[in-house]
Amino acid sequence: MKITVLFFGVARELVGERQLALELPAASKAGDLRRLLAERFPGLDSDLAYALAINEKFSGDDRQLQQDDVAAVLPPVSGG
Amino acid sequence: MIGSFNRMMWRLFYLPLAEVKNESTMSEFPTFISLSHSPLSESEARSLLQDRGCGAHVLFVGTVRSSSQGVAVRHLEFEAYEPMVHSVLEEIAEELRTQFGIRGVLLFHRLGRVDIGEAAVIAGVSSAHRKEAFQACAHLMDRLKQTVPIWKKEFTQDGAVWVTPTP
Repeated sequence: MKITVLFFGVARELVGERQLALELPAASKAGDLRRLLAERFPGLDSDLAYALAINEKFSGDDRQLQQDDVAAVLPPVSGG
Repeated sequence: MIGSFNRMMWRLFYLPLAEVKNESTMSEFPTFISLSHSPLSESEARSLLQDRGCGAHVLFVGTVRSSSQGVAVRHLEFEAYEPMVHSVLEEIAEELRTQFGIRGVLLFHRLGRVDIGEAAVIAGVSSAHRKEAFQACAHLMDRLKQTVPIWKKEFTQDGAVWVTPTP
């Protein structure tokens, strides 16, 4: 299945893109996306304690992904 | 050309009230949210929050400091996951209403480059009395720094760093 992944802040700079289209095996979960990102992008691993949002909601690693989902890699926030 | 220049200047100096709509979908009381590349207006925030049923209107203005941990700051840059900022703030506004019994909630935040002395954020609440208004406004700022998807990059004499959360 194909999903879109958005990157913000330091994650955007590590990846060098604001957004990517990724192909994942059927029945993948958010945690599988995390593992894929860690393999493809040095720094986007346990060194960066980022949150994942799926379709604009904070999501745990057991969240099931679906075709056309929009995932977002959210590094620790620092507004204000 | 002249038209686009005028429009740009106008946006720079005056963000019309009509652009910031009440986004509250869960409450009878308003939630005003604005993410802007232009300077934030305290008077606009004050006007939007005005509520005849409230005796307290608290506004917090967060400005860019000239130094951070002893290092001279040149400017800041902010970026946001805009649609999620709106949904997360809407949840926080409901949380504030439940916890403190306040009415109106407002959050203006700058995006892009913000220079020393400029307002990066305006947070506001309205309520019947001052105590809960002060508490709720402080809580709104705490929650902003904990969960709202906005990121700050600090440009100093030593280079640029993404700011990590402070307790």
